[in-house]
Amino acid sequence: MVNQLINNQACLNGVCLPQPSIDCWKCPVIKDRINVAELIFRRNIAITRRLREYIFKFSEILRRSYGEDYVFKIMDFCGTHEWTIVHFGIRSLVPNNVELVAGPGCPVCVTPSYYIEQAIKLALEGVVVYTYGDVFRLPALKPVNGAKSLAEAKALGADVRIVHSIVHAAIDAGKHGRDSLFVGIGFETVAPGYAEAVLKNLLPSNLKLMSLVKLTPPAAFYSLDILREKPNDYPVMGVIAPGHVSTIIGGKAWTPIVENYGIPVVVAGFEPNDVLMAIAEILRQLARNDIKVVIEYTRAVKWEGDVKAQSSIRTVFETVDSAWRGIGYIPKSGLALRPMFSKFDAFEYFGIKDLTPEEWRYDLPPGCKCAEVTLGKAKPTDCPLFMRECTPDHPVGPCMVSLEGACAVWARFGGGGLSMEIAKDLGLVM
Amino acid sequence: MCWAVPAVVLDIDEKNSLAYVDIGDGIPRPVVIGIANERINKGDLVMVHAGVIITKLDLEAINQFIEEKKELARELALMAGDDPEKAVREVEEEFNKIFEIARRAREGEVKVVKEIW
Repeated sequence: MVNQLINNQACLNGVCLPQPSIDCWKCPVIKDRINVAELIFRRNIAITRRLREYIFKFSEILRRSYGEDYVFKIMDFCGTHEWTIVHFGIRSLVPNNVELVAGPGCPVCVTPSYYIEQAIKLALEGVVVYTYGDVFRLPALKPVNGAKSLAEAKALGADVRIVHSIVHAAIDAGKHGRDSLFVGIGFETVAPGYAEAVLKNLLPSNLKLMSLVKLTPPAAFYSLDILREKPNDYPVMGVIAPGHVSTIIGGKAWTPIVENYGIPVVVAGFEPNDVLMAIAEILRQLARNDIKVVIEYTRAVKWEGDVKAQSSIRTVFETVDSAWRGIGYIPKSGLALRPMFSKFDAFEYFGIKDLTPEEWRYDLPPGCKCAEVTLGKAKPTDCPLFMRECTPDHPVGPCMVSLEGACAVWARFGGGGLSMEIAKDLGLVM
Repeated sequence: MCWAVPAVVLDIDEKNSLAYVDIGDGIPRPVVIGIANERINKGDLVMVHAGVIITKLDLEAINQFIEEKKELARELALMAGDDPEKAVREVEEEFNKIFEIARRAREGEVKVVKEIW
C-alpha cells in the first residue's frame, strides 16, 4: 500500500522530507493522513479573516438596500452544522444583521416517544435491544414498567447494548441467537446502510430492524412554511443545507427551496471555514439577486448524489407519513420497510402496532420547548427548563440528549453568550 | 444527523457490501458501503457515519481545495482593495503551518490532536 501511495523516496523510507509539502496527506501513517486531511479544511485563519471581511462587506450592502433593522435569518438544517457554529463561535464572527438559526437536524430529537416506549417494553420482556449511544439515554414521555429510558431499562436488568452501526449489531446478534431489536433511527445518511444490510442479507434471522428513518427535505419545507406563518418576525433568507445528507440525495434535492421560497441554498461542509463560506455565498446571492443552489462541499457532494444509494433505499423502503416528536405528522417524511422485506421488520415480528395520526399525542414533557427549538421558532435559552431542570447530565427533553441536539450543543459550548463576550474582548466585534 | 468521521479503507468485502476501515486508532472496523462499490478502493479516505460509508473524499479535490482557497483569497483581497499577492501568501503560509504540524507529528514530536484543540 505504501508503494501505491507514496512516490517520494524519502517518504518511502519512513523519513519526513525536510520541507513539508502538499503530498503530506499521502503519508503512509494512516492517523497522520486523517489528521492532515482534517486540518487542511479546519485550520486556515488567513482565509477565515478574509471571509469575515467579505461577509461584513455584503451585509453592509444588504443593510443599505433592506434597511437598518432588517435581520437576515440563515437556517442550518443539520445538528452538526449547529455544533460547528457554536463550538467555533461563528455567531460571534457574523454582523448583527445576520442571525443563524438552528433547524430540524437531529433525528434523536424528533423520534416520537411512542417508539422508545415500545423498545423499553420489549427490552424489559427479555429482547436484546441494540441502539446508538444517544438513543440509549433518550427519555420517553412516561415510564414503562418503571423505566423512562433504555438506560433505565438496562439498570432494571434488561439487555440493552450500545453499538456504532448495524453491522456490529448483526455480528453480535448472530453469536447469541436470542430475539433482538435494532432501533434504527437516522436520516438519509444511515438509510443506505440499513438498505444494504437488508439487501445483502447481513442481518441474522433473530435480529429485527425497527425503521424510524426520517427524511430531511420534507421537514425543511415544513419548518420554512411554519416560519413564514409567523407575521411579526423576519423570514428565513437563506439555507445552509446538510452536507452529508446531500452526499446521498445530492444537491439537486434542494432545488424546491429555490423554486418555492426564492431563497439561496448552499450545501456546506462541516469545518468552520465551510460554514463561513456558505454564509458569505448566501449573502452574495442576496446582494446580487442571483438565487440558486450552490455546493460548497465539493470534496464530498455531487449534484446527483449517489445514484446507487438512492436506488437501494427505494428498493428496500417506501416513503410514508411520519410522526415527529412534539411536532406531529409531516407528510412523506419517513421510511418504512416494504412488505417484501417484512421478515426483517420488527413491527411485524414483535407485533408492535405502528403509530397513527389519530393516536398521536403531543409527546414532550411539560415546559419543554424542544419542538419550537427544532423548528427554529425558539432558541434553547428561551426554554424555561434550559440549564435549570434540563442539563446534559439529566436531560428532560430530547434536544438535550444527542450530541446534535441544539440544546445539548448550547449547553456544552454556550450559544452566542460566552463566545460573543470573548470576541468583544478581542475586538473582533463592536 | 450529519456527524461523520474520516477513515481510511483497509479492506473490502465486495460480496457483502462491507469494508474494513481505520478511523485513526489502528483498529479495523467493519462498516457498510452505502454508496456505489465502484467508488471505493483500498487506501481511500472516506467519511463514515454510524457505520455507513456515505461518501469518498476526493483526494484530487484536496489539492483543488487548496488552489481554490488561494484563488478565493486573491479575489477577496481585490474586492477589499488589498494586495492580492500578500493575501495568497498568507493563505499559503497557513497551509504550510498545517503541513509542518503533520511533519512534526510524523516524527513523533507532538500529538497533532493537541494542536487542533
